[in-house]
Amino acid sequence: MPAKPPFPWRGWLAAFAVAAILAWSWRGTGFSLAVLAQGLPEMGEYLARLTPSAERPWHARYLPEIQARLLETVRIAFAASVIGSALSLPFVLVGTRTLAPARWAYNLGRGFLNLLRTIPDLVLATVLVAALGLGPLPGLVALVFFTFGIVAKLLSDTIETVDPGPMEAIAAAGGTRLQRALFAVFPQVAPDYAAYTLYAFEINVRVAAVLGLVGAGGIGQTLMTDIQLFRYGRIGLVVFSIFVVVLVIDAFSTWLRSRLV
Amino acid sequence: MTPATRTPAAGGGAGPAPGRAGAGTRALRIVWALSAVAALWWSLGGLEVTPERLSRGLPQAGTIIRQMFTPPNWAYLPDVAEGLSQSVQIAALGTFIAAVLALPFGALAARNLSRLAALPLVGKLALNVIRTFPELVLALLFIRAVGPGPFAGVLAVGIHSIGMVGKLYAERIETVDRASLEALSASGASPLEVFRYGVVPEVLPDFLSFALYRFDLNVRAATVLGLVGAGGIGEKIQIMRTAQQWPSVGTILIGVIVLVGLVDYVSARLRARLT
Repeated sequence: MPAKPPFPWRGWLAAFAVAAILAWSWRGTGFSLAVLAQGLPEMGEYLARLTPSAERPWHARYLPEIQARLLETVRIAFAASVIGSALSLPFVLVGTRTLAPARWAYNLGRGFLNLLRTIPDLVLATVLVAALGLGPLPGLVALVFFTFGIVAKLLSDTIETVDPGPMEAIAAAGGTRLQRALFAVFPQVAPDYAAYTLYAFEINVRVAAVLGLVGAGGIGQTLMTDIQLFRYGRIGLVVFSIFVVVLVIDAFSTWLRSRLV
Repeated sequence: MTPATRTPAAGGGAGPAPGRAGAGTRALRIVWALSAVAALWWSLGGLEVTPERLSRGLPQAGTIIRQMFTPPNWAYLPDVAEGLSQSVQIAALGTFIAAVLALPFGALAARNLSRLAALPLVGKLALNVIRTFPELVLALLFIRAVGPGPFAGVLAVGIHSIGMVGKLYAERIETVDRASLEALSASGASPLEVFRYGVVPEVLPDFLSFALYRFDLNVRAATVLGLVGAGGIGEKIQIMRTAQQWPSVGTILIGVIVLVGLVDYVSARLRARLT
């Protein structure tokens, strides 16, 4: 058993601060166990209506539309993953200390990346829906930015840890920055790069499934309409199919990543 | 190159062997790249992403972005602050609920705490299932139970986060030495006592660090919950976007970026001190 610190006032102070924040949040959000207890039966009833039953079966005739929307979801996620990670490749020429032309370019690149990564994906999608119109296009563009943010960050971080030997050899032979990147760096990080792209794809599928809730295409759009029209049998089927697709793609992609590296 | 110098964030970034690419691998890589391009072509073909739509949409997007920030509507800042603090409240309470409810799940899913091999499998499966339901879908369900507003958001964040936090808990518990747990058990401690005295003291700093990390993610999530009516700044985004009040949307965006950046920074600093 670890020895007790002499007087854990720091721990108490932190606990007090957390308690104060929680009390503030409790009031601000109208959290109420009574309301929850009252509402749970209604939610249970709602959930029961979503499960297939004799009077509300999951009709096979819904499947073609759901399948088409799911396919759109996967297409959005996939295209965004490929385009976003392709765009992140040239970024490493400014985003890594070893390849950047100057310190200020590196700082600027990293600063831009950090700024980009603070924008929540769906907030970006909402704004883009207003600009580009309803449908998969704004969702795709939002996820391209999102993928670029993740992959460029992970790839740049990885490149800063690779063996500098080959790079120095090419530099010594008079190679340019681009030649150093192409022949010394990329061969070393190619498997990681593929793994990061797959990782982004996994997240993108999850996000693409809900993009439609803000009008940006995919299966979420079907879900939103069904909820608004109280089509219970369909809501259940849609939620279930999202669940299956996400699980399957996650499992497949995780397996593929474990083989890559 | 040691694995320790690499970023763990991708979960699979352990080192490649330099110079591994022979002629066979190169051919394989070309095949991979070509199939990626073909699949991209297929994806875009189904999305009606045409050059015409892009050339029509992008200038419009440019106009809207210009309107957002030249200048943003600073008079709207008090409302933004109100929405942002509600998002923080949703994230804080949701994270707390998840951090507590994840404890039994984490204990259940840890391999070294149970004698039955099936229990950890059931626990891990349950955590995976919870994680798969997106926050926004859960929010839509909880709105049914408690009505629209931040309370539904708290519940959605709280339940969804159990999945990831529980998984991190379980993985951390699994690194606790089994022998010391068995010693406690042999000296007559009940399972609950084994957990309290054998596990908790060792894992507590890491558990707090996981909760802080999740809080960071939940603040982001809480900024979008309002898009479906579950409270926070997202509700104001929705209102101002529908009303096409772009300078106000710009103010909101700046607020969100500042908040997320700040929470990111503070959470990382606190976590660095914890471990």
